[in-house]
Amino acid sequence: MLIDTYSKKIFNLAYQFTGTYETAEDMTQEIFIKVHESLHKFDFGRNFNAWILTLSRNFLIDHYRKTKLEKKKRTEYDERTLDSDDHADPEKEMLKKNSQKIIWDGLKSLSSDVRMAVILRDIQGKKYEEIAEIMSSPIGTIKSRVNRGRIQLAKIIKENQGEKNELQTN
Amino acid sequence: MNCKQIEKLLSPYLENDLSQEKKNLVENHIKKCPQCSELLSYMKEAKNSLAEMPEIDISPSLRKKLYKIPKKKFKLSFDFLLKPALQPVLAASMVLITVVSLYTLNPDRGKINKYINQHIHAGYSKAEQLYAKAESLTHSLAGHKESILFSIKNIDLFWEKTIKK
Repeated sequence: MLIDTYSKKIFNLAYQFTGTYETAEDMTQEIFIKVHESLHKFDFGRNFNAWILTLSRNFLIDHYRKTKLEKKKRTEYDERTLDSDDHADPEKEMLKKNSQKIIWDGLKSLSSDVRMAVILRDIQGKKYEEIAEIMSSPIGTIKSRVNRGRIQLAKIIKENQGEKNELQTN
Repeated sequence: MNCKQIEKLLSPYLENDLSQEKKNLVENHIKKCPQCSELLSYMKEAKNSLAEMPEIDISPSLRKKLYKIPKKKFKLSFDFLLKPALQPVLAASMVLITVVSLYTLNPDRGKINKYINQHIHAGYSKAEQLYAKAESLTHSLAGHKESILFSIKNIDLFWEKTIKK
């Protein structure tokens, strides 16, 4: 039941954070081992969803700091991560895909805490209160991390479009 | 407000989380500042692109691996041994184990036994001697038992007479 309910959530968090499918699979397994080992420590007065995501977040950030995942390349943005809509306008679909590619790759340039806050807020759509609980930080800190992350990503899109315009004029 | 201050308000502005006063400040600023206006539109694009990233399903092979974990990786935890409260007990146990192993593994164990026996016997005989002495003292005082008891009972009277003198 634990696996059915949480495996997809944890895998997606790991995938969005590491950017690599295979690493995310390994991380998901490691996180589940940790969950099984730590279940006896769970305080039943707490929210289990927040507890399991806090454990996952701690594991991913610790692993990131130890192995410096940010230096590795994120997987090429592929069909697995593309939100495809068969009925959409092909040109719009192409633009959307390009924008998502830039953002996906841009996530690697964010620091671990900023990246995690942006993923939880903008990809997973969690409330700031929930993110603050998962990341064990005050709401103000989370809001400022999300803002910083969005600004960094906005600058990455801008740079990328600048490069594209240069290529077109050449 | 300068651009740096406005930057901090852009996300709350995008999320409609600003007071009317601050919202007006941001809107007035971006009307005059093309850089901040451009930044805001790229931030909106980033936010929308992130929101459209889909959740992906886990592979059947990963699911299989996850179901094997509890059986495969279950470990008996000995973490309780690291509790600070148990440290004196562990230290005492280590000393006891060291002493017992020094004794049981010693090749001259016979000599140690002999030494211990000698000391136990010496102690035992000393105790016997003391007991005998105590018994002889009891016998020697037995004849004076009544006069001793009388003296003890009348000790107050004895002190009064001594003080008056």
